[in-house]
Amino acid sequence: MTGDPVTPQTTLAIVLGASEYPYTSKLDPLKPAGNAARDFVSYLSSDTGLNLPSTNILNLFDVDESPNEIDKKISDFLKNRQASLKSKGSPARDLLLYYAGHGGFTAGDQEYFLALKTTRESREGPSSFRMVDLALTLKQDARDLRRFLILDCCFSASAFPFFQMSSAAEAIRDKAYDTLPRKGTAILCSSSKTKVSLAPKDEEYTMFSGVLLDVLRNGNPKKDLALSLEEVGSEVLEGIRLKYEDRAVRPSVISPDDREGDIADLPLFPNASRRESRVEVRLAEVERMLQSTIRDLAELREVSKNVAELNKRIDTLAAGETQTVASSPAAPDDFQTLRRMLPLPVRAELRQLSNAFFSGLVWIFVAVGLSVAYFVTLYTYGSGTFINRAIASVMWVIVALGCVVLYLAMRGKLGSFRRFPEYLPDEPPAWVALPEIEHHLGDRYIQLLSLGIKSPFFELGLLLVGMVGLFAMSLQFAAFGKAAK
Amino acid sequence: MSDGRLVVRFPNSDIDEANRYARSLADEISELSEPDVKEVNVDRENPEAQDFGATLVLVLGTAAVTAVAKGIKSWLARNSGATVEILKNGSVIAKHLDSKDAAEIAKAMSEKTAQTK
Repeated sequence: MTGDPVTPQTTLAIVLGASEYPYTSKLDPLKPAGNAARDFVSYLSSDTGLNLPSTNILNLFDVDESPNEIDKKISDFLKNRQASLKSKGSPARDLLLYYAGHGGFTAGDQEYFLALKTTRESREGPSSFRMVDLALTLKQDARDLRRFLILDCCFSASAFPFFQMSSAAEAIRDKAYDTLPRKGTAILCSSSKTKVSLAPKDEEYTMFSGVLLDVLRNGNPKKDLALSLEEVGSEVLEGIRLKYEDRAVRPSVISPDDREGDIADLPLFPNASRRESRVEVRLAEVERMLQSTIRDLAELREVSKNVAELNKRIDTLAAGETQTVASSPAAPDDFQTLRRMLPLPVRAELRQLSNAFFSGLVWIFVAVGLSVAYFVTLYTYGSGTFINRAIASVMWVIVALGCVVLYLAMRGKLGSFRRFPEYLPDEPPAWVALPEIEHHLGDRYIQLLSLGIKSPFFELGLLLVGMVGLFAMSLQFAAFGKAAK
Repeated sequence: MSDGRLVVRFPNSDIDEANRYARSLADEISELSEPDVKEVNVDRENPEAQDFGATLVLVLGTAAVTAVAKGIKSWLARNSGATVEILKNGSVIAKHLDSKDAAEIAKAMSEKTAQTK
């Protein structure tokens, strides 16, 4: 089991909390939390930040709505966005939830809760967001997502038990941690479960969120292109210690659900200090595309030498096109036009895909030819001849290897072809053209696409074919050895 | 302070426990339904902290002292790990009290409350 990397298009974000508490005299306005939430939302949508589409962000900070209404909004947002992204072929993979405000324990059952704008004095339980309810909503409606939480409130590590995996999940826990996990929960806590978090007077942000925003905005030049939650936690811890010394709160990263591996180690936030490096990578890509374009232009120059002939062909084609358009509303060149709209690397992928098809057909023809030769020799010389066994052996090997080669070629190409909009998010033509190509290829596209998806039965089938081929080959040669003796 | 204002703290507890204890003891005293219990509030001593408070503020009339002392004793009996200290005007008037110290609680509270009347 393996997951995909974090991308802006497939990441959802929720911002919760409050900076005003009009229904309780105990809590003064917490402006630093308001500033932190505002700037965190900016970071989420900024192209120098996480660069999430605005439709992927749900901002419920300082809303004057009951916990029940907020819970419903979170649930609806998660369900709707996941369904929408799935229908577009890029299912949601990650959820980032940020909370800033007060944390406390309810009267009576002493449960941990997060304060909201609606929090009422002495009735904190029903008027605030209980952690048990938030955890339940996320476990149900974001069950297929990797869940990253950032909690800036007192005793925030108290959230740990609510997000712990069930004993059943623990039992089937995947011990192979060498791949990207698809699920799990990791929490960056502003304080331990026994310590308070602080909002120093006369400062713009809370102690934790101020340093967190600094880390996210400035990054660390010594780290990779993206920072994991664990790395961000370490940077925040160090930043707070340096800035506040003895008063410092002590943030920590906890992973209550690591059934497929610890998602806290997953690259999540772009490293701002390596932005130039990322630009360099993109520039190299542009340079490569330009070189490819120059090669295409050279080919065009070659073509221009035969302008006269080309003009004749154009005239002929135009006449044929007019007839076709008259007979059918769908122009035959639409697919080619769309294909030309695609970025060069994608066109190269398509060419390689066609080559894979061609290779597969060649294998099949060779195997069919050998089968015919096999039966001809069988008929002519009778069974048991050397020629007959040799042809059968070669035929089995070709069929078996052909299947494997064809499968691997198509799987590799289709795997990347399927996800190319993620690789090239800034190529609108790619987004437009992909559904058209899918429409053009019809069922064949879906069938081919399914090859790019991991299918243990398919792989097993191919393996069996290959083994049968090898077994048949060894039998044939064994029989040949006996005959030779 | 002439209104019998007392502050109850939980000195040997972590801050999260003290938050819980303060809420719990506030509930206990509120449920006594004593008319002379004029105010029961959980207070935040550190205004910079993002919590709900870990100390209990009580404003009591003389008639309520015994009942409140009994309430604190019964609460301490149920929360065996907890100890409390009681302050009046910023001075500690009784400390390290547990469930065995009911008489001392009542004595400390009644004396100091009477003195301030």
